[in-house]
Amino acid sequence: MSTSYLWGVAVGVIVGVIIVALIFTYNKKKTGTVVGGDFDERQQLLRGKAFQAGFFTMLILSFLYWVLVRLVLQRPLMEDGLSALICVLVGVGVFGFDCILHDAFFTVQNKPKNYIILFTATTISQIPAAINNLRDGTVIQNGVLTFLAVPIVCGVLFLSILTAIICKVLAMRKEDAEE
Amino acid sequence: MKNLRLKAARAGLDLSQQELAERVGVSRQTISAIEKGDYNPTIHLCIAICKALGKTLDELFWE
Repeated sequence: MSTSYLWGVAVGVIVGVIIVALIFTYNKKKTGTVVGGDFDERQQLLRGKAFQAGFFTMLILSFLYWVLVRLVLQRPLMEDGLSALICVLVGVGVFGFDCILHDAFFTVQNKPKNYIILFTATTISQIPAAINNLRDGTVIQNGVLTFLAVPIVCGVLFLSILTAIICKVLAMRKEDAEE
Repeated sequence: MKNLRLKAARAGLDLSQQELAERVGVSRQTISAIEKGDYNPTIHLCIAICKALGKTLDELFWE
């Protein structure tokens, strides 16, 4: 790994930690909780079920990938560790979608607008790295998906969650108007 | 099963689902789910709703 790559990872991690710390501090000041409010009893129940769904999706996906690579193809499709990361991201995605679908994503005090801003910014932040890696042609090397595909995978995940949030907000507005 | 008595009691006080939700500290969707019969609330939430609407548990939740 080159020095510039390691610097990129280090700066990314530091910026990420600072942003998360700022969000948590802002939420704590405003609502007294780090997630920006409390989930009610129905939401807590559904979030537990969503976590279960995400966790089992991750396990099943890991197993299927193992079967595909070790028993069927007998060659790797991705770099070591990338498949595990993608399985975790898909699990997180399933958790997020399940929560959004069952109205358990936003806390009682949360404003969906804040989430839309956060996910839009996060999705946009992935675009330069994704385009750069695609242009370099380094995403797939010798038929193996490399870690340089992570910005693309994260971008797709954040964009999907953002789309789901926007659809949910529109549906909630319609419900509010009908009520 | 739909909880029409809860809906009627809420409407009787001219409260929206959002206003009742704010009074009892839950989301509007939770009140909507209780009224539709999609969610069975805990006794803690039932009591909070009864207090907010000035009704008894029997009047709102007993079958």
